[in-house]
Amino acid sequence: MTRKTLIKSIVVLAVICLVISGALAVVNSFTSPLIEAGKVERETASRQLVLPEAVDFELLENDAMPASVTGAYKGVNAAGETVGYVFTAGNKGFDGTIVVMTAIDNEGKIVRVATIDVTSETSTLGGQTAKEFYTEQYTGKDGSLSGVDAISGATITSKAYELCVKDSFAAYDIVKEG
Amino acid sequence: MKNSKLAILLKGLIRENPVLVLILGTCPTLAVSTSVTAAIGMGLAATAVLLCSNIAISALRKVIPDQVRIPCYIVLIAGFVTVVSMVMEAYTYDLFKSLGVYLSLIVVNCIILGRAEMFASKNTVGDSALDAIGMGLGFTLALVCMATIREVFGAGTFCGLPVPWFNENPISILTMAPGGFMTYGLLIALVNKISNGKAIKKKDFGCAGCPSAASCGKSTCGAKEETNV
Repeated sequence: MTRKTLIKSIVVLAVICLVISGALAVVNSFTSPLIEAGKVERETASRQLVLPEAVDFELLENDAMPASVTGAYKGVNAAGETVGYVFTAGNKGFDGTIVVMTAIDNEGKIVRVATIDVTSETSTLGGQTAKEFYTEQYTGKDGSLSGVDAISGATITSKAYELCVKDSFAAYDIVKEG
Repeated sequence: MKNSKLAILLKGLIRENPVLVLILGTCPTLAVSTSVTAAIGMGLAATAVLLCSNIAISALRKVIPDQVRIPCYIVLIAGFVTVVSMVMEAYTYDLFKSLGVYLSLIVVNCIILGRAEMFASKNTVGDSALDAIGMGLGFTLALVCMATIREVFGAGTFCGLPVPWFNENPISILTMAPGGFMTYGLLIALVNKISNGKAIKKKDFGCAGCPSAASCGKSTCGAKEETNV
């Protein structure tokens, strides 16, 4: 390779990289607000699935909450009154972290739980915690979770799931009003 | 003159269909052809990237030195794919999610780099654009054909809507990898049969018999394999 082609190669490649980077920065400035807004909308919608009475959610931050609780929100209705709390908690299941969302009302009873992520578990055993027949047994229960049956053959996943819900209750006790 | 322009556009559809004749872009074909909507989305995204990259590479073909052509092509293609990916994430999130990692993998889709090397770097911008549209539509067509077979017979739905009778008797293996390979092989055989006599005659193995031999600069490489490429 002659010196001339070497310099030309470097310059051409550098210019192409700079131009492409510039173009990407421009496109990003247009699209990233839309992507953020879409993300927030999807998260709010998923929270509304567990706490249907709430129209809006306020982020709660408190270091005293258990480390496994990754998200805590207070649900308010159209009049601004608190209707409940939604917590997202993650714990180690059988083969990875499982993520569970729990909605607790003002009386300390579960409104609903939703399985956010159990893809690390065995689909025919622990993965069954994503099904309706398992999650609906949590509705109406209080912090003791008495009467909740584990899935036979999936003890580790079931225990991790219950731990996520119990951690949500611990967080609830810390952040609840009154 | 006009005839040959049309020929460039049409050859990508059947005679030199990138997926079924040139056998390029097989990974996304097998991965994304389980659902018709995902197939259409992938096909259009890849066509958009192919068009942009062919035009850009053709416009710069006299400027890019031969020694750095591959890095330059890849930066250009990756740039376009990132733009398409950002736009899809902002405006068509469900489609973006269904394509998943395969959207980013369009960067290394052999069709795009292959056409850049074989056609865009040696032809005018106009011809390259036509070639891109033809190849992109051919890719989309092949993908949709495979997806229709695999979704209707394998899952009993079409674009997510259940099809009567088929959705009660799905042949599940079609939605999995072995079914994908089977469908692909059968489609290649079908295209071979349909274009019998009109398609490129594959006389022998090696470079001379390759469907891309006409446009490949190295079609004599079979005889000189020890030379530097």
